[in-house]
Amino acid sequence: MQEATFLILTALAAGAQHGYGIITDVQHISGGRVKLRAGTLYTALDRLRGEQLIEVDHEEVVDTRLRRYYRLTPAGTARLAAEAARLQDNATTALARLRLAGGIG
Amino acid sequence: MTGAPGLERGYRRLLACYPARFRSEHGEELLAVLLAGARDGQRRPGLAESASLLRSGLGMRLRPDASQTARQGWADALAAFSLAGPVFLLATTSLVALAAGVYSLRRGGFTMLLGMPGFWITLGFPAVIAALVLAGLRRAALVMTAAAGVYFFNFHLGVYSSTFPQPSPQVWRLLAISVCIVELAALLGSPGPRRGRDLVHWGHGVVLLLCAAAVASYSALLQQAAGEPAVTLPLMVIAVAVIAALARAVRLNRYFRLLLLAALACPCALFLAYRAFDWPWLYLTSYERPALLLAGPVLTAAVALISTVRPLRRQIS
Repeated sequence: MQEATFLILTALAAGAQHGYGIITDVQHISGGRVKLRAGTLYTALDRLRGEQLIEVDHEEVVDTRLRRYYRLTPAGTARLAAEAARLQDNATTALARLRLAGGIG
Repeated sequence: MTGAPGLERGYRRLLACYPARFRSEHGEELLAVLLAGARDGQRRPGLAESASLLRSGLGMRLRPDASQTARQGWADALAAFSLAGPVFLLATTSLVALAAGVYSLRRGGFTMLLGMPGFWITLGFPAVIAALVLAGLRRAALVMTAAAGVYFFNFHLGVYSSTFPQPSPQVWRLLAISVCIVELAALLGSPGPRRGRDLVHWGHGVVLLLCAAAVASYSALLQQAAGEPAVTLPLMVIAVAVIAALARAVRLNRYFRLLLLAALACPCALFLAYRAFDWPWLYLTSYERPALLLAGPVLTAAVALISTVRPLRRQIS
């Protein structure tokens, strides 16, 4: 899973969010390192909806503009959990090896 | 934020590079996010944002989404080919005619080219079939493709001519016959060119145009002194590798790629054999020649037809 996809799913893990909310949340989660462009975000959202990992929660109109909220599907939650566990395993292994090599404390 | 009118217009223009399906689904929503993210007083889309929108939009046009690709089997591959095949043949013959025209002009005889036997028929058949499939007229296209196949078979392959080849077969002439064979299977065994219109995307266009350009360049190159196998073979291998990688990158249906390969590979391989081995073709009987040329496309078309018709029969029974 690409990092941008992982961060988008993570942003939706706590609850439904609209597009602009996901962009700001991803920036926050990544500590300002990842700044999603709107085009990239919506390409990913379109793909994730096609893969049934996310779905539309509800829509509203703010200042005559459409705002659509997305949430994780059960399949999306399972996929994110599996990916997080995989990354955690990898990170644990990497840290253990570094400790053995005396790289970190 | 509502955004300046110029900024909104600019974003709308950029959104035009996305496919219509995406625009109707996400266009207004994406526009709202773009305007919400704009700086105060911003009048035009920024360079980085514009580049990102162009990249995403064009990428989406070139590559269908993964779920769509996964659904596609033989039937959809044939439907896409039923539309793309004649257009590809028309592009190839037009490019070959253009190259021949330039060559003739240099020698001061463009009228000679126009007066060549079969020139207009060779160009006219693909043009008419392409118009018919683009209009979604499957039965008319089927009849016209069958007629074109018979004509090309007699005129280009020269089965009944004892003096063939004269002076040598041309790769695009051989190609016309194999495209007609695969096209017949595509029109018979698929939901038709109307379904093909839903499936074909820009990626098909880019790959087919490259194939047409490769065949036309190859044909033109072989008319020159540089057309020796030592030169043309490596060029051909490079062209095939580039086109195959591109077809994979733009996620063309793998069965569609097989159909294209069946239409292209046999004529190219035979032509290469002609150049490289002093042509065993001459020693073949008039029955062995078409068998050798047509085995690839005929077998692929038969497999495609069986694979498509069998599940349909099962559904009916």
